[in-house]
Amino acid sequence: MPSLSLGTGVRVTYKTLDLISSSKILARLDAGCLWTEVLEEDRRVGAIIAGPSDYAVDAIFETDDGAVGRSFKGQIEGPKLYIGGSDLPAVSRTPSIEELRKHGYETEAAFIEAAGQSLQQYDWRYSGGLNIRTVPGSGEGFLFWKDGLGEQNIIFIDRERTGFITKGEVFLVSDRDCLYVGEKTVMVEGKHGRRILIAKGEIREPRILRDLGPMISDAVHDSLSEFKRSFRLDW
Amino acid sequence: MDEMKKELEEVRKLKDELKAEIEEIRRERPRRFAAKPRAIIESPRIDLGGLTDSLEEMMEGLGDQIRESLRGVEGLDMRPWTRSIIVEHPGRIRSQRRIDSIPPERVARVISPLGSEERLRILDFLKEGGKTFNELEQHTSRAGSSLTHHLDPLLEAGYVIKGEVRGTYYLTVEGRLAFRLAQWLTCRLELEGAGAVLEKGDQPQKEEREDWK
Repeated sequence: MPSLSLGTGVRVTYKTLDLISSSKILARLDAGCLWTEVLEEDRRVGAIIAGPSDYAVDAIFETDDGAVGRSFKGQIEGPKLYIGGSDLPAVSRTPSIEELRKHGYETEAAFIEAAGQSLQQYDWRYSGGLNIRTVPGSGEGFLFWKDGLGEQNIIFIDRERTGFITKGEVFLVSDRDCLYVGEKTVMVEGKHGRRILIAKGEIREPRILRDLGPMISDAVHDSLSEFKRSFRLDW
Repeated sequence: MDEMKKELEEVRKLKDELKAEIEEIRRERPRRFAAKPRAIIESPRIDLGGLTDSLEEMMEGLGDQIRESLRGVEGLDMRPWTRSIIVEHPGRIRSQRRIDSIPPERVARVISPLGSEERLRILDFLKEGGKTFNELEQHTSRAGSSLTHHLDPLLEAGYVIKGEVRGTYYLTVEGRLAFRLAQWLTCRLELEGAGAVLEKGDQPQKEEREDWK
């Protein structure tokens, strides 16, 4: 686990910022979000952010049989940990006391103390191959947050993958392959478009499995016909 | 990875060979059985484009087809075999009863979103792939709330799903199936209608005959 610390200043966003954005995933901070830097040694690698934010994830795949998967959309409540490059400094300024109080903090120090506790609660095991020394550029990054029940969620975009992990559901896409595990759907697709799809308890792909019934039936019939011929039985 | 590719290639070849063999046997059947008609081995199939081929249905069909196959082998007492081979599906009767007990109001809830040419046109358009609201507007020549009026019932019924990131609309598996079933029903009714017309002695127009093909 990388050794992270927090900066000393607090900033507030004054306009909307798409923190993470692709055709499949969007994490958007509204104006009025408080944040403080997350540092590794002296280098800024991310931020702890509190304030109004939304996310949307399209874990939808188009197949020959129609689209499977679903779209997720919601608000990100509470403090969240962001690792990655961003334009946060460009859309932020020093917060007023009112802006701090709006989030329940009397001083900047109080916010930083709360941010420190947040930083400790995120489970870095989920970050897998994340190398904090090569954090992605602007628009790419890793966003961790916990829902009201304490379940950890992650959305991320790095140079290779786009992903969303929430309770019981996983969605990963890269140039080479993709994976979706939902409540009733499991889909794995390789780079050549070969796909295993189990949706609502039915094997939909590969199609060869669909032909299994008629193939067995024909094979049984043919065997019996051969049997009949061998005994020269009259049809 | 290469080994997997080879294996897949072999499976594909094997499948093609099996298909070719089956086709050959099918071609031989009419000649072989011309003198003495016998039960048709294959059950009639309605092509729904593979959409209704769930694993469950496939297994049910397997039992039926094996039964049909054995029926063709006259002179052999295959009943003990049939008992051991037929794939029984205990849930089938329950499933049939469940379907029979669906009240009209529930059927209407599922079917009513399809009862509009505009909505069917949307489903047909989405078969090409995901479309944005603007693309749908252009295709249907309907704008804003007029288009939403048609999209909402399709979304509620689960025939269409909306991607929230870019507002892209996709045709779901259920939507594709519903549209296909509607097409199949249309085709069937039109054919029956045409049959009735023919029985009365009227000849169909050339274009109509082309449509039935």
